[in-house]
Formats: sequence, C-alpha cells, structure tokens
Amino acid sequence: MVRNCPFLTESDILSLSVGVTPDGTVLHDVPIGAKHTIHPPGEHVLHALAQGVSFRKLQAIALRHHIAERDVHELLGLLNTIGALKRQRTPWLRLRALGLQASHLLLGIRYATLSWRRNATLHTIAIALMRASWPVVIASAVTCGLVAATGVVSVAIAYGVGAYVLALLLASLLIHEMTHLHYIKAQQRGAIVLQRGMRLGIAHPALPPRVEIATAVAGPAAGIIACTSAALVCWIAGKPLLGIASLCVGSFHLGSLLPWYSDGATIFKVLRGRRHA
Amino acid sequence: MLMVVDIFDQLSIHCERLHLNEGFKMYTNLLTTDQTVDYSVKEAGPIVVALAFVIAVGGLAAAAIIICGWRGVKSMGVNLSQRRVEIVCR
Repeated sequence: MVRNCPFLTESDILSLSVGVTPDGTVLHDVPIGAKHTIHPPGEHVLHALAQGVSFRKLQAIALRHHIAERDVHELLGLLNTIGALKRQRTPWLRLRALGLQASHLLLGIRYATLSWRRNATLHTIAIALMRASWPVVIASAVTCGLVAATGVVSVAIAYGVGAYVLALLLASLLIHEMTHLHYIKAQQRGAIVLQRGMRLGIAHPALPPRVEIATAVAGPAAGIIACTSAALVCWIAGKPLLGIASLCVGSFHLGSLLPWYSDGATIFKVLRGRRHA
Repeated sequence: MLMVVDIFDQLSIHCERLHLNEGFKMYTNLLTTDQTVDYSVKEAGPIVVALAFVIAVGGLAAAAIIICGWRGVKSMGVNLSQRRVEIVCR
C-alpha cells in the first residue's frame, strides 16, 4: 500500500490539475510558481497524464517504459499530495468504487482521500471549508438531537445553539484562512487552496522568515479575535450561554498553534531554520 | 525480563513509526517536488478539535440518556476542578 495514493479503478480517467503542466524534465505548477523535477522515464507518465488517460492505459504506458507499478503509485500519491491529480469517474463507477473501498476497509486497507485544489480566493476557500467540515456538521446535528433528548433544553434551543456554534466555527475558519491569504498576497505570491479529507491548507511559495511567522500567527489570532468579539456581543445581548460557546470555538483556533502540525509546525520550522542558519 | 524486552521492542517500533511519519515524502523515483513550496502547511486544525469537542458533548448526552432515560435529565455538566462529569436525573 503506497501512502497518499487514492483508490483508483482501471476505468478512472486521470489527468493533471489546471495550471500543472510538464515541460521536458520540469513539471510546472503555474499558480504558485513551483518547478518540480521529473526524473526519466517519469516524463512518459506525466505527459500521458497531461493529456488525460485512463488508469489502465497509464499502467500500460508505464510497463512499456519499464517503470515499476510501485513507482507509478508513488508518483500518483505525490501528485495527490500536491493536489495535482484529477480523477474522473462515471456515477455508476463511483458506486462500484465505494463498494470496493468498503470491502477493502474490512480487510484493513485504507486509501488516501483525493485532494481538491483550486486557486485560493474567498469563494474557493469557503467551498473547501464546507468540504472539509461536513463530518463536524453531521456530528453536530446528531449531538444536538442527543442533547434535546436528555430533556435539559428544548429541541429549538439545542438546534439553535448548535446552528450558532457551527456558523461561528465556519465563519471564524474562513477569517482564519483569509488572513493567511491576505499576508501571502501582500507579498505578491500565488497561493492555492488544498483540501484533503478534514485537512485544509493554503500552499504557497516560501516567504521571508518574519513574514512566514507573521502569516502563521495571524490566521489563528484572527479566528480567536472574531470569536471573542462574537462572545462580547452575546454577553452584551444577554446571552451568556452563546458567549461561552463562542469562547469555546475561539479556543479551537489555539489547536492550530500546536507545534506538531499546521501553523504551529510552520512557526517552529522557521525558528529551527533560523537557528541552524 | 522477557516483558522488559517486549516493552523495549514495542517502543522501538513506535519510535520508528513516528520517524517515518515525520512530514510528507516529497520525492519519488520519477519526480522530486520543488523544495521552496511547502504543500503541507497551514492545515485547519480547528476542524479536528471541533469534531472532538462535538463528539465529547454527544458522548456526554448519550451517557446521560442511558443513565436517566429519555428526557429524564435535570442537569448535566463538567466539573473541571474535580475532573468529574455531573449528571442529575429528575
């Protein structure tokens, strides 16, 4: 099982994302100005992907150029990681693939989720957020139902508070990501939004260390400020329960400052790099 | 003694896994990505934290229903200072 490679059936049509084009031994990622190095004989696979090709045909091309199947899967996994892989499936095949994936899951085989990638704008970040947070929406609906079933609060209050918390979470996340984007755009750099499962990120070329740290800190700070402002408004309006809920949502943004991943990891990486320099 | 060896074996396997999971593998035999672009940064951690929070609240509500029955809960809450969940039935 190769990491990051999504589940593929032989009839899937694979291609490269818009703005990703191979040119000789370089794979250009135009939106963010990245230049990836293609190692021979990888150009055959990448040029076929640029045209759009079925997975079956891609395997045949790889075989013709003596490329190992594992190398093809690793390449597809890497392309998926950077959001450069596009997969087209008919509705019938989608159902079949779901069944196959479910049966594989019972055998303990899990596949990476296909990345969703667009140029970073307010609209695309909002869509990516909705795509990433649907498990939270479903879990919230179930939880509100359970809280109402306890009898502590009425159904209207349970779902009302749930809807407010969910709306605030999504709005504050949008502010969080838009703040990152604002700093990146201020440096005249391109940016893309990448969504894979519940993971969401804005990829961009390297920024000067100070700007990189400021960008990483500003996102969570903006999210916390937005939630704290909402809490203040709730308290002034005489809704302390919603105020506490707003502060809880604000504290979630602190999670992205943990040093192991996300913004926190970026800060530590820059600081470590500066110390080594 | 045998148990000690087992524990150390498990620890070494765990450490190896942690080491392998450090960041993405950004090169393959066919492609090496541009090192100036970090594709793994600025993930929205709050979504995962929010899901954990919602599941915790849902779990608490489910436990309260099991203990007190359908709409049988008078109040419920978490006492952080005593690290205790308090559920009062009607």
